[in-house]
Amino acid sequence: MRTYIIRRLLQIIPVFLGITVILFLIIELSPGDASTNFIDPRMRPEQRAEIARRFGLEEPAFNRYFIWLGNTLRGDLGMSMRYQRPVTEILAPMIPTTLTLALLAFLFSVIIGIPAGIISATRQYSLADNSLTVFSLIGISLPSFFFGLILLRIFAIQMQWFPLFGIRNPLYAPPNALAGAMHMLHHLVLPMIVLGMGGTATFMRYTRSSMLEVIRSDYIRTARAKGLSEKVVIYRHALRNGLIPIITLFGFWIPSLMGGAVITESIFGIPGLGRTAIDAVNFRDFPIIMAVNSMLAFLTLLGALISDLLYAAADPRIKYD
Amino acid sequence: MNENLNNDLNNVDDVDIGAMMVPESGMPAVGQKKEDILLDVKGLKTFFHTDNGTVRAVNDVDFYVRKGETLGLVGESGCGKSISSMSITRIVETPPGKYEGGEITFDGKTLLRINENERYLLPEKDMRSIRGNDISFIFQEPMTSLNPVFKISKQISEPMMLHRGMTKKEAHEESIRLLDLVRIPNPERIVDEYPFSLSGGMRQRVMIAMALACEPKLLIADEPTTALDVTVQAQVLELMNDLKSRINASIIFITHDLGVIAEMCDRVVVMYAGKVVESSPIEELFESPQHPYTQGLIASKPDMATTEKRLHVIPGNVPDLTELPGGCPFHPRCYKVTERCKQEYPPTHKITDEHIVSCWEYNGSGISSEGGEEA
Repeated sequence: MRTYIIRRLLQIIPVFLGITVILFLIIELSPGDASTNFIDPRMRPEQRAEIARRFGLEEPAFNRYFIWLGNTLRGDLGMSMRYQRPVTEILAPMIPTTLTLALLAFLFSVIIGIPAGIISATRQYSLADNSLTVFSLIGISLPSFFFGLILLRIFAIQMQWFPLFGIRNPLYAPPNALAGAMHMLHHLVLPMIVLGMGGTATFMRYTRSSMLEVIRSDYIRTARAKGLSEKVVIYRHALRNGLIPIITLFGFWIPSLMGGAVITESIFGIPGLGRTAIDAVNFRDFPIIMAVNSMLAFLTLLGALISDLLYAAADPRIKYD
Repeated sequence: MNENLNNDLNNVDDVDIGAMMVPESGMPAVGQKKEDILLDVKGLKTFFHTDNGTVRAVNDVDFYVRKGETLGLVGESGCGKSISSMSITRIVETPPGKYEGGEITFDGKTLLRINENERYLLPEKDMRSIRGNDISFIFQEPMTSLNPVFKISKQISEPMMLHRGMTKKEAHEESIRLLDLVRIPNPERIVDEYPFSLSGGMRQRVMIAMALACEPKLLIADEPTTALDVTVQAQVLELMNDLKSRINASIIFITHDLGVIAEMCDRVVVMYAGKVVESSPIEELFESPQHPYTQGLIASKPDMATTEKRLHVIPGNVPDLTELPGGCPFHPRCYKVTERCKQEYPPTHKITDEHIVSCWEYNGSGISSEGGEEA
């Protein structure tokens, strides 16, 4: 098992390098660069060259990739072209915000989606099942920016239960750490629902179909024939099997959460990685784009590994060695 | 062959079977000592209501099982033998299934009584304390009937912890003993394995051990050897035959294999299209089968002694249970068919106390084998 994990971690290295090459190429092929933000059409060519030199853009792309790679391996992600500050310094405070939001959204999806899926499966074609099916279809098909605006309109503007944007009120000084955390959680409730909605609906549908299949299997009939109560049959015998495909979905869900965070953070004005990445793309702030996307790529690769490990943990038939 | 099984059975039922008999039913129990009967099923109807119509899987079925006896339920696929047995402990999936009628009495308790005036089902909680405890099952598919994510030990322990109040440790010890009883080598090691590491024959032994865990009064074996290799089949049958003399249980042995019936059973109930067509002690059934369907089944059995090149078959197919032919459901395939067979369901004739047959062609001395349309 340990050698398997080490081997998989080593495999991540070449894949990760390949991803950074492709990322760099895509950015290179996209029109414009950061210097265009500072260029006035009336400028003379020498002035333009001077600005390009200031951003380190005068070198050929090939050289610049290796300069970037070398610096990154030393822990230096470069200077943001827009803010003129080190990328690490800009991103560091955002990582916990985005990870907290993503984790909350994930927990929301699991806690709502899986039980809803079980109810749907055990009462197939009932009113509850049909309602949940309609809900999940809405959840999957409603664009999150639209859903987010509806929630803001109802719960932030009309009801005023939740704040409109941001993660903290600058005028509020929390008396202790717990109050501070609660203050931030209060801000994150609506973003959590918006970011978690897609996952809730997806997990629900997967749980439903997986449980439907398991409930009809022979070993569930065996469990019933033993005299076990319906609760034990469903929540112990069926669920342990029905969750196997869902658990493997968890690791692969990381990129979806990060992708969703881009939109959710933009709607709710949350200073996180997602919103920063969008701003960076608009500004052609290459170091930030590279940094955020590389992190995302790494998390995705890690997620795939976590999925495989969870699979082995959940299903005794799967063994890695 | 198993008279000795009755020795320990001294608990006497207080149920008067005679009083519960439906007078019209020409079926069992008459002339039987009431305390002998462990399970009595009368007029059982289990239907499935599907989008394509009502499937009358079990349609007015009567049978009974005596204490210590092995009853064979024979018939082709889809004749209702599995559903009949699953209806006893109500493990048929409902919906789409529905218990539509009949009366089931087990060990003095009424498990089900459904007629025009009442619909009584033993409460689910009481039913659960019978399932896996007094009545246990061995299913057809050993490969899929064990839960893939639980260890063997947990799966065998479960009914003992539930019904016998054993601790986990006691149940674990008992599981090892049971695995040894069903002749699994290295039971101490196998008990901690997952089902996927066992072969089909081994898994079926585990199923048998599980079924025996609470020393059931009635063991229902639903085609326990059908999914196994022939050599493994023989081993499992031998094991079951051997266990029969060591446990105090009645057995319902469901199969479509008459060879297995001959080896295992004391009495046979032959089913066709959701109905009982003939019921008889084992020797009588093979010596003088009365119903044309039973005769066909026996004739279809491959025989090593014969020089005939072709295997005898019953012409036609099992009817679609949603669109049963009128009259006797067997008439389209019957070599003795008459006009009456197409119109009315035949009455049940009692040949001896134990031997009954449902056929128009039975005339008191047997069904003549000349057949034809003359009646």
